[in-house]
Amino acid sequence: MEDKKIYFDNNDTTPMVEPVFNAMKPYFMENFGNPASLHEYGLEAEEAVGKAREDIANLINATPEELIFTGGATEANNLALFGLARMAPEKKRHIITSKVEHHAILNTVKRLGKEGFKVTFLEVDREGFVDPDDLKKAITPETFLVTVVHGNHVVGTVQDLNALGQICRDSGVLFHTDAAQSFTKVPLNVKDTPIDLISLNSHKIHGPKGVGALYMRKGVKIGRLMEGGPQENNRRPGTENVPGIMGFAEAARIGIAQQEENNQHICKIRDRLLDRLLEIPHTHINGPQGDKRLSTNANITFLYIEGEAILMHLSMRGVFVSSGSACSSIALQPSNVLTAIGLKHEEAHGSIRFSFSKLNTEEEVDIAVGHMHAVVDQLRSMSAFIPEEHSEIEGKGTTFYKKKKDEF
Amino acid sequence: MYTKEYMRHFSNPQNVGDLENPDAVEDVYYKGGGCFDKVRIFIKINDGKVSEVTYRTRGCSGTIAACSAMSEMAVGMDLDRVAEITGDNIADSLGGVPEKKQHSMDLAAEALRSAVLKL
Repeated sequence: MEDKKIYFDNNDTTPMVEPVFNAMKPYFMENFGNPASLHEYGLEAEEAVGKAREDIANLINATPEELIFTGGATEANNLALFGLARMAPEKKRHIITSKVEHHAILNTVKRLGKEGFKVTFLEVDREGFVDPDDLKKAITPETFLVTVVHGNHVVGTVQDLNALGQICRDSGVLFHTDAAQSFTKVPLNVKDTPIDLISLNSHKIHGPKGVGALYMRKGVKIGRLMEGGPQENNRRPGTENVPGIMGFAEAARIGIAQQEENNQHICKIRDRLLDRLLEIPHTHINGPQGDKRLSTNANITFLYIEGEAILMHLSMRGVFVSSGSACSSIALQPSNVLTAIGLKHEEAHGSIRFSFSKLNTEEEVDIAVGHMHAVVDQLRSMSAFIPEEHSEIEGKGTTFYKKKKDEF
Repeated sequence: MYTKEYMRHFSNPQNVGDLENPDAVEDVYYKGGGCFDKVRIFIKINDGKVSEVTYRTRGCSGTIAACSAMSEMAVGMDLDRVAEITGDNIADSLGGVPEKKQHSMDLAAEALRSAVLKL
């Protein structure tokens, strides 16, 4: 319908930018060497990967030895959690996490739960924050690991890593965070923060997909998840994704160098969109407002209509967003984050996440807001469930329940 | 991913709205998984056959497309036959739907069946 495409799904993935692509190009055909090879091609690749490792480590004030390249943040999360669990002493079998984690953490700790570890899922408040006192109370002599997401992928909540990390440090418990959404957007300095492991990724910062890293403070020991060669200091076997790592490093360098100006620009866009859309009746913001929210994230519930239908209409109009509604997921489950912050099913049902990057403009916001008004009007005109406009029919109606195959 | 027919019904749904003096009205709520789609269906009968079907919905693209297709299918059918319309029949009329949208097809069929049972 519309020629101009407006991409507001940057918490999902971001478009690559040209300098990143240019940084990768030589490592496909010219400098194609395997960093493990001993000849000139190999040495060139090894040097390039080493430089990338050093640069990314520097950006979070870590040392190169503390950084392991992975195939993305999901792998980094798995490596951290399974790797630490493999090394956990027999009497240390307790893991603490929160109810607002990404599935890369949630499903990993659930698996560890099935393997005999005790798992505590911390509640969050209405804005998605973990209460440090709750963490303090949850730690037992058996606890060996706490993992709490830094910037939330659904509602943008930025957790207080210092407060949570200090409690872990004081209790002698390892602290890991998934920083997939916050890296380059929120300052991260491992020298100033009581943190032991951090998962990072590339494709949410205009870098390539399929590459990420795990920061592990010197002295932290993890088991290997896969067997193979001695790459990544014997902790992650397999030939490194050299072009991917080159792109990741360039994206990270650019992201950190532009952190302040990008945040200013993106916050302006985010707040413009929030202000305009919250003028629509029967809407509310999900997650916090202000500087405790990722600059890149806005999440709004539009009551009485369904998120996937909104998303599909917007898509036809050239505006791309995501939704936490059950109908947006194959398992027909609403986002665990939205239910954890206390949204009722029908509120999660009508939620839309708009997520931004430095490439978005205020003009795009204005166009998208116009489309959003039209789509909300169209869908609400079909809805029979707006309390002011529609009365309940006699009786309670029929509840149609069909068990899905995966619903156990 | 979705057929042209699915997108046609979703983007321009037919027979949306209330029906004056309906022979039956029913609210149907889907509660499989975490999906809470709702459909309000209105039906009018004439001489043992369905003469009109309208609906309102708070539902996803699948539920909107399914209700639209269902509302066209049912008109002119005998009451005993209309209650036998299944989600698969509605999916077929849309040229097939992905598995994750089958629940919408089943919901639209159930809405029709529930309304007929209320007559």
